[in-house]
Order: sequence, then C-alpha cells, then structure tokens
Amino acid sequence: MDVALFIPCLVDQCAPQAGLATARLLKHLDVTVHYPREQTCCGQPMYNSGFPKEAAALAERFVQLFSRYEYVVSPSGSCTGMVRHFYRALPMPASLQQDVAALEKKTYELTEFLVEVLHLQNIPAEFPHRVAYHPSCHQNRELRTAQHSVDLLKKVKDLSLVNYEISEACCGFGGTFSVLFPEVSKAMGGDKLKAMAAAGAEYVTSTDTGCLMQLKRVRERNLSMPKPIHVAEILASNL
Amino acid sequence: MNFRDRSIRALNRPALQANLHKATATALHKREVVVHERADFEELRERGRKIRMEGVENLPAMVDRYTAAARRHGFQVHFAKDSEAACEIAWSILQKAGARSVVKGKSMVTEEIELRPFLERHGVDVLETDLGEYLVQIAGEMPSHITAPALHMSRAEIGRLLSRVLGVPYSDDPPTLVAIAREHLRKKFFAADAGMSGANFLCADTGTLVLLENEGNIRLSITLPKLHIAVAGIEKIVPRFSDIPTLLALLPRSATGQKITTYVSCLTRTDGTERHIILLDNGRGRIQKDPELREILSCIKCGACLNVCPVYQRVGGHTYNSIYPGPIGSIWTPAMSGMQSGTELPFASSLCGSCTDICPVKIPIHHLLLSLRSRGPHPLWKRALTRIATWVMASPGRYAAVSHILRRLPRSLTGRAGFSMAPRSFRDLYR
Repeated sequence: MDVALFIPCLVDQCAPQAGLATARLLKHLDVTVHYPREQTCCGQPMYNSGFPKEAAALAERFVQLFSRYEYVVSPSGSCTGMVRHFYRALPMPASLQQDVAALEKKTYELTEFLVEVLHLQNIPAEFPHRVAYHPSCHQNRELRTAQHSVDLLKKVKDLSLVNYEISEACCGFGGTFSVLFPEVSKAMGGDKLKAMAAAGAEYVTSTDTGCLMQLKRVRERNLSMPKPIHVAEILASNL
Repeated sequence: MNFRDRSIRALNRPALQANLHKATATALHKREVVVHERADFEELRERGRKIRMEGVENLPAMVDRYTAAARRHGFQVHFAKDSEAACEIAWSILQKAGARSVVKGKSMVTEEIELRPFLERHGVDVLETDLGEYLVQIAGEMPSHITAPALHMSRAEIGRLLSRVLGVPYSDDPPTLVAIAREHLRKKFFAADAGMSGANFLCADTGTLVLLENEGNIRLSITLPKLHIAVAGIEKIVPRFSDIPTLLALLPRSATGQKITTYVSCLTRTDGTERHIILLDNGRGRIQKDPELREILSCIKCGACLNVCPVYQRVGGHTYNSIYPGPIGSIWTPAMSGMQSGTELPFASSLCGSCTDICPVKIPIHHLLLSLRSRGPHPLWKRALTRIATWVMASPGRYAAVSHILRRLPRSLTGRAGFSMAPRSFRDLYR
C-alpha cells in the first residue's frame, strides 16, 4: 500500500514531531510511505481569508503533486477537510476536475485512515495519563470522523480518556480569526482548557496542530493546565 | 469602534459575561431536551428546509399568490422596496386613520426598518409590548438577540431599570418584575389607536398570517385596536398553510426550547378590523437572484445559531452592531446591504460550524460566511500579504528560504503572529 504524506505547513514548521510520529506509525503498519518534498501549503489560509483565486493556485500545485499516489494521509483534519470539501469550490482549470474528485476519495486524516482503510485493531502504544480529546471543528463538523480518533485513543494502553464539559466547542483558533480577534479567541481557548482541567486532564490531544498551538498559547498564562500533544504522537508513543 | 474594540469591551464586563453564559446555556439545554423527544427531528429539518427553499426559489410567484389570497380575504397588501418606503406606508395608514398611539408586538423587521423612531419623529406614541422589547425600548438600546431582545440584561439590571423609569420599588424577583410591566402595559392596549406586528409566516395559498409568541401581547395588539398593520419581509411567505405544522415543530424547539409557544395566532380573515400587510423587499429580491446566498432567505429567525455560537456566547449581540446579530446576522447584514455594511462580520467567526449543525432549516451558515469573505472589499495590506504568502508558497525553494528566515527572527515576533516555529522543520528532520 502506497501512501503520500501530506504534511501541512503548520505541522512542517511548528510541530514536526507530529509528522514524524505519523510516518513512524504508518511504516510500522507496513505501509510504503512517500513524502513529496515539493509540497508547501494546501491553500486553506488564503481560502479562509477570502482569496479563492490565490487558494486555487496552491490547490492546483497540490493536485498535480499528489494525484499520482494511491492514498494521501495527513495528520490534520483541517487540511484534509480543505482538500475533500473545498477544493471543488475553487476556480481551478476544468482539466483538473477529475483529479480533484479522485483526491476527495483518497485523502484521509490519519486516524480516519487507520480505522477506515487499515482497520487497525491493536495500537502499539501506551500512554499512562489522563487525556482530554479535543475534536477539531473541521474533523468533527466537516469530515465528521472525530469518533475514529476517540476509538483509537481508547485502545491505547493505560490511557484514560476524560469526559469534560463543552467538549465539542471550538478552541478559538479559526486561522486568521485568532489574529484578527485575539481576545475572543483566547477567551474561547481559556474556557476550553478550564473545562478539561476541571475534569482532571493532564494532556489535551487533537488531530490538528492549529488547535494545539492555540491551546498552548492560552496555556502559557497557566502552566498547570493540560499539556497539548498531537494524537499521532500518542499513537506512536512506543515506536 | 470596530468589532474587535466592542468585543474587548464586552469581555471586560463580568455582569454581561454571566448573563450571556447563563442565558445561552439555558436556551441550549432546553432545546436539547425537546429536540431529543422528537426522534424524527432530522427529517423535520429536511422537510423544513424543503418548504422554505421552495418558497425562496419561487419567491416572485409566492408574493403574487400570497397577495391575491390575502386581498381576497380583506387584507390590504402594500409593497415597500426599502425601509424608507415601508415607514412611509405605515405612517400614511396611521395618518389616514388619525391614529396617534400604537401598541406593537415584537418584530425584527420593524427593527430593521427602524419604524419606531420614524413614527416617534412624526409624533406617534409607539409602545413595545413584548417584555424584552419593552425593556430594550425604555433602556434606549438595541435588541441583543433575535428572539430574546433583553438577553444581555440580568434580573438586577431589569429591576433597577423598571424602578428608575416607572418609579416603582426595586425588585429582582421575576414574577414581580413581570407583574409590574404587565400592569403598565395592559392599560395601554385598551387606549391604543392601532396595533402593529411582524409575521412569522405568511401562507401563499390561504393568505394566512401566522404569529408565534409566549406573552399574549401580540394577540392583544392585533385584536383590541380597530387598525392592525403587519410588516413582513417577502421571504416570510411559505407555499401552503399545510406547511405550518412542520415549521411549528421546528421554530419554538430551536428558539426557546419549547414544544410550541403559548400562543399561535393564525389570521386568515379580517373580521371587521382594518388590516394592512406591508411586504418589504429591502435587498431580499436581489439576494433571491443569487444562487448561493439565497439560502439565507430560508431563515426562520429562531436564534439558535446565536445561542450555540462560541463567539456570540462571549461578545453578545451589541458587539455585532447589526440589527440581526450572531452568525446569521453576519450573513444577513452584509448580504442585504450589497456588501455596503457589516463587511467585517463574516470574519468575526472561527468557522467552527456549530451554527450550521443547529440550524432548523439546514442553512450552511458557516459556508455562506466563508463565501461572503471573498465578496467584500479587502484592505490593501491583506491583499498584499496574501499575494506575497501565495507567491512564497508556490515554490518549495522560496518556502524553505522564508521559513529559514522566520526561524531566525526573535520568538516574540513570530509568537505575536500566533505561531511558534520548531527548531527544525519536518522536511529537515525526515529522511
């Protein structure tokens, strides 16, 4: 099985350990892993800021780079959602339409790929901590696959998943939203962390680096709050 | 002052924060209970969406059918292309009847056209009879929520307000507060020359005007005076009277967490009262021609998207500076104005999508917000920044070079922009 790693720019530059964990995990599961080094950004920041034409230019690059692979897997629900749900809305050449449609079917967020394609039963991981799962909005309400991450985390040895209030609420990241309205954004993140801390979580995990960075930033005011860690790092904790 | 300035002010008001938290959490919880009871709620949403979109897609024909049916039953139907025209029509009807005092039911569309201040300028005494709307009126504020205009006020604030305006002893006991307001309002119903209302739905086949409420003030406003004027956006028309049960199952559940409101008034005949309907366009006709944005016209104004919105929950309605606040208002206001006002509102959302998930008629709210972001005028700095970023991202070499530079900048700089660069990138580390 051939998989191309789709490592979003945020993971590449700010959370390389999440990308490395993804690669380790897939290799451990006997998947042939490719990393197309020409990849940069999927175009989501441009699209979300109201610039579909600029986003289309980057999406075009993405389609040309990734179309040749059997599967495309990313440690990000958000960027996967961009490819799967929003590429079709971008002003791209008609000649790419087929490739876009094909990519919609073969691009997966990591935990989704592990469950839906690899039907993974045993997780080679242990993580003896109380963990709060933060479903990113794009994973939860665009891809609608948050349950896959939860199911996998439940299988990790010694990991105890905590239930907490407002578990489906947004962390306040929202890309440029957190830059344009930092006060509201931080208030949202703060409430989310408080709810997790109240439930006794030591760690907060998610499939999305944007959310984790947002929570990390909010946490800087109070380091006793749960510590952000990417789902891939937990799943690959023994590898 | 922009959205950000107003949001900071709202976040720094602990009393407002407490009111918002309590009111939205209670509304959501009550909704959850009554939605859970309907195992077919998802089907209901689908049916509701179909009904509303059938009306929206055939809007010009709906207006004609509704007008003919309403006129057949004795209603006088008027058309207003904008706020000014609607206000003028209402004023001329009142003038002709020699009406000087009006009791008014809660209606967002009359807020939209600013009818009350217009009539007051012409010497008409207009009294809001919905309790929340009345409180907002005497406080000299704007409603902060579509269905709960005074959502931002606490019991104590309401007590102080009533005490100051009506000269009654202070109380923060809800039944006492309601009794005080009711005592004051009741007298006015009997003395008023005219009653005014909005409309929840207008039925194209029967000409029926449907109004939902809990306080009974709308029913009194439209039955006691001998003159009744209703103002309604043209999008309120639904194809058939038989569509109403579906919408009744959706609206109160989504709005206030009730199975049904205390009062549902369906007016098909005029029964001796002079009744006027002012149908308002005010940008709706133009939106109807836009295949993407027209979905917004299917909104039934329940306010659930406000309650569930993590931004609204923290900043409240006034921060939006828009008649319709929250996610739906952030589409409605810029769309209706032809991107002339409220263009920063589509950005005041993290696009989390909980609005779309809760919408009883399945409007893809956060996708419409996203679409509107690309329609407004962009400030120069944003255009420049996006073009530069795109140019950098279009080449792996430039991308690597820029990330190399960013990595060397002091962390305080990159941190302020919201990200902290790792010492080495994935592409450096991965072999």
